[in-house]
Amino acid sequence: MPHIDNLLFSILVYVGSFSAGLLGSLTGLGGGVIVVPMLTILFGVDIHYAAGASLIAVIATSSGAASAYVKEGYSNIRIGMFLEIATTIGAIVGASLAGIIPPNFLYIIFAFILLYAASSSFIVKKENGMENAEDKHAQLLKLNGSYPSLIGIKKYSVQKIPLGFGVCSFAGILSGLLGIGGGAIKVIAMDRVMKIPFKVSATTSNFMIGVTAAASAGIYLKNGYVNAALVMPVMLGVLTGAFFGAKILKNTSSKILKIIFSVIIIVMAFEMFKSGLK
Amino acid sequence: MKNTVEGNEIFDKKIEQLLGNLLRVGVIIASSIVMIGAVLFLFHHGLNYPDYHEFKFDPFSITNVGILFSQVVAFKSVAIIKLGVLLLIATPVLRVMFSVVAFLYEKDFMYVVFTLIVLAVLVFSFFS
Repeated sequence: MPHIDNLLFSILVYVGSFSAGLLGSLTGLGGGVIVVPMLTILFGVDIHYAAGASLIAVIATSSGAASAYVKEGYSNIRIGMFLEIATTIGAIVGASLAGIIPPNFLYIIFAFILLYAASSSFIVKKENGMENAEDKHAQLLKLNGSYPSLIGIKKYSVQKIPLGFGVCSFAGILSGLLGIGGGAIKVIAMDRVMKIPFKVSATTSNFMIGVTAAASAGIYLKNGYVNAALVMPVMLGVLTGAFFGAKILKNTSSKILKIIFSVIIIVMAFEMFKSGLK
Repeated sequence: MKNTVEGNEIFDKKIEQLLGNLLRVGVIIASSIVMIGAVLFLFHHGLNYPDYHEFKFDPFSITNVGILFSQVVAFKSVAIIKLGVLLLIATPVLRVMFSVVAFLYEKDFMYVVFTLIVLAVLVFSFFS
């Protein structure tokens, strides 16, 4: 990495973050998972600073997208709030561990997350929710809901709440540890484990990401991971990229995008492994 | 019972819409402030070399927010960016606070408690 000044560095990081935000929003996996390896591998940034900048960008995109998601009428605030208990506690644990775990391990954990993200974007989603049996925990916690679909209002009932809660704690830990949103793991908890319809899971997860990341942010600030001059191009880049991604979402073929995305992610995973083994 | 649940759902959606807009306004204000800080930073330090390769411990405590404000008033670019970042972090925290009020209004005390737990975790993160 040749020595470049702040101006050029900021411009390059902005362009990279813009692309990350764009791809993240088009594929639904979020920008954080690409921003951290981009900063560490391409720009040689310390992994703690990279995680700090990514975390702030994650909060920006989650909050910025919230109103658009609400309009669609899919998100369920009770599910979100209930599971945020798990994700925020997990986030504090993860953010605290980030200062203790040697950076090499962080790289290797990150490599696995990337490989997982690459594979998960190809799994075909089937809608669930209709045929679910009533669950007594779900009734007690008032988690069941309904959402608009082509054939009218559909109702769903939530399943396996303790396990879903556990997976969400894990998502929170990873989010705090690596500065990512962990949306993909939250969606697994809701979609696969708790059998919540995919659209409800995805939009509710977006809401949870911002609050989860805010829980890590306090610890990150205290530990000095949030470097203002680095955050600035990353946050503005991811935010504008995600904004344009949402605008062009309807006109693009997601199949090709997912392939491009996966190739980038697999290359990054390989590089993260190499950095971790150094 | 069933009617109240459905009534709550409509109310939930209205509240969510309001909160969604609040979040968006928060993000727009925060990123505008970061943008101002960015322009100032690049104007003053654009030709210096960045150094993010090695981690240097430089903690920021929320209790130092008074010092931050005095630097913002003095037009220090890094302080302005930090202020924008703090406002950004505050938006989801505000959402949780408003949710407490919304659940209180619905008299859903179980969710008032759940939301307060989330808020307590957030407060712990910033003030521990």
